[in-house]
Amino acid sequence: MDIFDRVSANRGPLGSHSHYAHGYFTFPKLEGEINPRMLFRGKEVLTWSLNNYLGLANHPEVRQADADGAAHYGMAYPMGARIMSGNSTLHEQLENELADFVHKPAALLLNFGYQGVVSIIDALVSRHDAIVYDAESHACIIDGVRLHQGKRFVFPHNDIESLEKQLERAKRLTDETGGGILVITEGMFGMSGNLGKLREIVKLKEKYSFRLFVDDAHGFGTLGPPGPAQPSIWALRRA
Amino acid sequence: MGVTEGVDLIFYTFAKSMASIGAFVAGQEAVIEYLRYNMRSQIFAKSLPMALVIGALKRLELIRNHPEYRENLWTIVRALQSGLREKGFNIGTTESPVTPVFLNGQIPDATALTFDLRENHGVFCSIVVYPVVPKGVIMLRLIPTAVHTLEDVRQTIAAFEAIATKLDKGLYSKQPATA
Repeated sequence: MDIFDRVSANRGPLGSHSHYAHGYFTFPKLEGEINPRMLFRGKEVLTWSLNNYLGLANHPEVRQADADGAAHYGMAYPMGARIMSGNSTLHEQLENELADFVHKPAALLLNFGYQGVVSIIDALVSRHDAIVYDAESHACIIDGVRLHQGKRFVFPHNDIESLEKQLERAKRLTDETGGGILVITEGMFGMSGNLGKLREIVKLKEKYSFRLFVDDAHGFGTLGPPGPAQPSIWALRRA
Repeated sequence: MGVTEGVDLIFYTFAKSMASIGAFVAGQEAVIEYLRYNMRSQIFAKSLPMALVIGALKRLELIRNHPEYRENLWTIVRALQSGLREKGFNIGTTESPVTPVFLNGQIPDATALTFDLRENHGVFCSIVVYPVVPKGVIMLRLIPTAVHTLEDVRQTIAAFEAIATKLDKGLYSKQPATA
């Protein structure tokens, strides 16, 4: 069957609803400044759909900094990949400040979150390694795992007993291949609002040898006790 | 081993609290250097535009210096989540600002209910149905922010009570979802 004929006839699980959903349930247009109250089809609506957790999107100092940056540099500079011609002192300064903020020795800027996670996983593991990951992980983790040429083991969401069983299997495998184990989960799950059980997972390091990679996209700036931002792994700090 | 040290590699995005685009990964120096030289999504892509870098520096400065933004966020989170629970809504097992509200109904109920919520109550939130949640479950997802008000919370909980009552009576199944 012709590929274009197939995709034209079957638009996929969401796309098949587009004839009535498009513009309303899917691809709606929220207009006006980014605030809790915006315009939808010309009418004011109270909006609970934006991950603007700290309200920075329309903060006057943020708007000014964005405008100044664009006015001074345009949107093209620096040109090329960082490895070739696109590096700058400010890129490096931002990396250093971010690393300090999250209490890690070093940080690397990424252009896009989804691609970044896919590519981190791809770069880290070899075919001798095993990945063990949470079943409710974000698509970027799932797709990164899909690129992996070795074995992968999934555990039911936040089920530490099952994680341990999968670690046992991964250990048997990597004992043979000579590879290592990468455990992947999230700090704060964007659909359920659950926190990843990082404490319990780290505890398993006493029994098993593995590296832990956490996607804490939703945790940045949102979790932690009252008071000054605690520069740490926020998902570990319940408010 | 401390838990912070136990997380070997941590990923954060700029697309949520930072209200921008981009992301970063942090960890020990040798590993970050390895990623810098081996991540295909970065090696074969143009550098993050300077305006975004400058914008990110400003945002980080604000987050560092204004703990009250996060405190405001949690004031809204607590009011919304406790308010919904008091009215008998099932908000699952959330431990964070993300607030799912689980209702029982089919996809036609979901579309009619969303339409009612937006058009008649002026409340706009995301709606999630099968296959992301099981068949027969409608999930409305609310993301509270530091710039919402307690009045916003009251209006929203009142709207949710109204739609839940209609849903329980089967009223949405009887009307076509017209967008």
